[in-house]
Amino acid sequence: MNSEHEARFCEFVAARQHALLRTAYLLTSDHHAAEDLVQTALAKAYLSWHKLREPAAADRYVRRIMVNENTSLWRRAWKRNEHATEHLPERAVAADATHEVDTRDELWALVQTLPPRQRAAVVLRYYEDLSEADTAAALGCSVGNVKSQTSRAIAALRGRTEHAATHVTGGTR
Amino acid sequence: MTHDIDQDLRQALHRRAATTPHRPDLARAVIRHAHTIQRRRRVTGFVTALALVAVAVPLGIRAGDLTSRSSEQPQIADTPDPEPSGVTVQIGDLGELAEDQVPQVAYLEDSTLVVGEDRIQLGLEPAQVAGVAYAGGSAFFAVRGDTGGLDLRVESNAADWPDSLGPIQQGPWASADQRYVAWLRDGQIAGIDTETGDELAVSVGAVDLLRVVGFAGDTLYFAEDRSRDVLRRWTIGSESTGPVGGLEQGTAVSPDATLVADMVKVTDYGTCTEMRDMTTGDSLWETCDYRVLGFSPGGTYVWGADSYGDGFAESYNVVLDARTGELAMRIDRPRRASETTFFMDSAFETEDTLLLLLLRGQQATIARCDVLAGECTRATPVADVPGDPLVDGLPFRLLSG
Repeated sequence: MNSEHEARFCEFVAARQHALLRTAYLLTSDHHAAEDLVQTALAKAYLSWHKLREPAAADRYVRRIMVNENTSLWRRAWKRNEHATEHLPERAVAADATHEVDTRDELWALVQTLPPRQRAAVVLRYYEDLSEADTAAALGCSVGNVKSQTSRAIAALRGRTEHAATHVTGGTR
Repeated sequence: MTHDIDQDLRQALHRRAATTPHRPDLARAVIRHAHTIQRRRRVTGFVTALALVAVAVPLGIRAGDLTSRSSEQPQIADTPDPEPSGVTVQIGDLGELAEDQVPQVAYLEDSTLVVGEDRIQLGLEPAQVAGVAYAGGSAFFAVRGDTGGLDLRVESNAADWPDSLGPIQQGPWASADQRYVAWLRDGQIAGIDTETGDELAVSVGAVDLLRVVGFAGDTLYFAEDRSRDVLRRWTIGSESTGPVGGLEQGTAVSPDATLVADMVKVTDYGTCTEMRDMTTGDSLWETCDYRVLGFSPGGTYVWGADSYGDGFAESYNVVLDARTGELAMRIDRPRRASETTFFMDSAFETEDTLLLLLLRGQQATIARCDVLAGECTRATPVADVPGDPLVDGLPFRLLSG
């Protein structure tokens, strides 16, 4: 890489690293894992910097590597029998039914149980506010698939939050 | 809680993201990390080469023999630019490629499917076309609706089909002999025989996305694109799918279903692929330099790319002998050009010619590379790319099926 490209890369990292770290944290739930993910994605972007013509392309590229890399990590974990699940687990409900449930904490806890591509779709659509087309580009799939991944994730989240709320408020059993 | 889960979800994510601590500038650490990756690739490649020489020299064995005979787990040796033994052609300025005849297989030019003299108008913007398959003289194509769903439509100058075959999840895919078409719909793979018009389906459960790696005759080879990549096969008309055993991750099946490329190792730095005989399961050869992405119609060659793929076009393509793994041709970009040539997609046109969809700057074309002649020509005019290729699509598209 020549010095001009390296300078552009450093500018890009300075401008975008914190935003990338935030997204990576939402994908991994762990600050150290998020930093590893961002560093790896940026290092791979550095090695492929010749492919990128403008900052927007670099952003899309790094985001795509992050999502792919995170999914690969998840797949490797699966092969080591650290199975995540397609089905949201039953979560312990506070014994005190009058305990006020913080919906947002509840939602975040449930987001962490989503399969990685559904979770990525949710993070890109609801946190990054990407369009469906841009989300599809980041995930490397069709817009229709983004739709289905997102709607499945939302349906699962809605189902679980309603389930939890029903139990907490002592509603229908 | 509110019933507006969208709003709650946005707030939940933003609140969580705000807990991310600020870090000092990562750029220098990242560049060091990148150089470590590069060094590790080179050292691994060097050590592997030394090991090969150390074993091969006393035994008087050629490196190619060793590669095909080794039963050891292959080592990642993905130097970014493995030394080719075949011809290397560099493609820079697309306009400098010699003009040649148009592709002799079906391809998409804007929204027109071109098959020799036959031109089938799809009547859509390129970005609306999510996928195209050509079979039975007809164009089967998935159209993106405003809500993101896909509708499978058919246009034909030769046969009488309903305009729409209904909503689908993914596809369509055409068989190598262009007789069958398949697609994913509501947890089922459906397939149609264009000669009889019979539509048959098999349930594959609640899958979002399939990774189709081959369609040989009436048999589709696919994997679920999620946790585990077990390669499966479905023969149109049979009531169930079956696994293709003994593979890690199949990436391509030959059109006669005798060979399968199996990605046996994946790391942060690259991949290793073995070519296997589908009948005996024997490994014919292995490479940690390239991924194998498709076969020629008769199974003589495969085309591939760098062993590390990031899903953002390829930096170069190679053609390998399918039976030995020997490099027959490498199509690359000039190292010090002002603009980079991107290899967006490839597909064999004949047994010896590979078509490559190329993007350089805001221009695109389809090139033809002749493996025997060792040269590349231009099979379409050079067309301007007005928008973002990832979002708006390209003016040309190759049909892999």
